[in-house]
Amino acid sequence: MLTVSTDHPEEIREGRRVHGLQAVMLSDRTLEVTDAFGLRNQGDHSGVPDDPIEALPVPTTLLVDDDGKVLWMDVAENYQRRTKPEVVLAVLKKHLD
Amino acid sequence: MNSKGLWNGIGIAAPVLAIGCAMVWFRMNSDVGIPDNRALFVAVWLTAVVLGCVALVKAGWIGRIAAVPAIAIGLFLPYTVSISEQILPPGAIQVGDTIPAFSAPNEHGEIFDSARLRGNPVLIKFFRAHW
Repeated sequence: MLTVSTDHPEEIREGRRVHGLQAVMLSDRTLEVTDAFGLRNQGDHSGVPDDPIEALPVPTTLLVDDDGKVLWMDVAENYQRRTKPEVVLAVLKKHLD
Repeated sequence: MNSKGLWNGIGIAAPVLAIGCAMVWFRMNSDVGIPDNRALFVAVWLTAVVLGCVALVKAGWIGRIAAVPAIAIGLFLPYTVSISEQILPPGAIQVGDTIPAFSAPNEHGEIFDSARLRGNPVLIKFFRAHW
C-alpha cells in the first residue's frame, strides 16, 4: 500500500507513529504526483489552517495491478466521505484472489 | 413551569442537540461511517440553531448563554458540509488507465520512485492531509 498526501515529511512521521501505519507514505507538497494522476481538487480548498498549500487532492483510492493498470478506484465526491474498509477488502478479494 | 423557564429549557436543549449530533458525527467519522446523505445531520444542527436563536430572544441569561454554542456549532458544521464537494479536473485517471511514473519523498526525505511498484499490485490512497 502507498499513500500520497500534502503532509510534510515530519507530519507523516507523526501520523505513522500515532496510527501505527505500515504503508509507504509520500509527501506531495508540490502536488506533482496529484497532478500526474489528475486528482487535484477543483472545488473549494478548505485545507489545513495555516498551511499555505495551494490545493489538495480529491480523496481517492486506487487498486493498481502488477503492470500498473488501474483495476478499481473510488473517488470521494465530498471530502467527508471515506472509502469504507470493508469495501476495499471486498475489492481486494475480488481482484487479487 | 413559567414561560422564562420554558425558554431557558429550550436554550439548554439547543446545545445538547448540537453537541450530541456532533458527537455522533465524529464517532461515525472515526468509524469511517458517515453516510453519503448527510441531510439528517444538517437538519438537526439547523434545528439547534433555530432553537438557540429563539432562546437568545426569549430566554433568561442561562438560556441565552447556553444558546451561543448551539448556534456556533449548528452553523459551523453544516458550513463544512456545504464546502466539502470535490471536483476532479478533466483528464483525471480512470479505471483501465496505466498509472503515470512518479517520484516523491517519503517521511525521511528519501525519494521513492514508482518503478519500484512494477511487478506487484498496489493500493494507492490519496488523502487530503493528516487531520
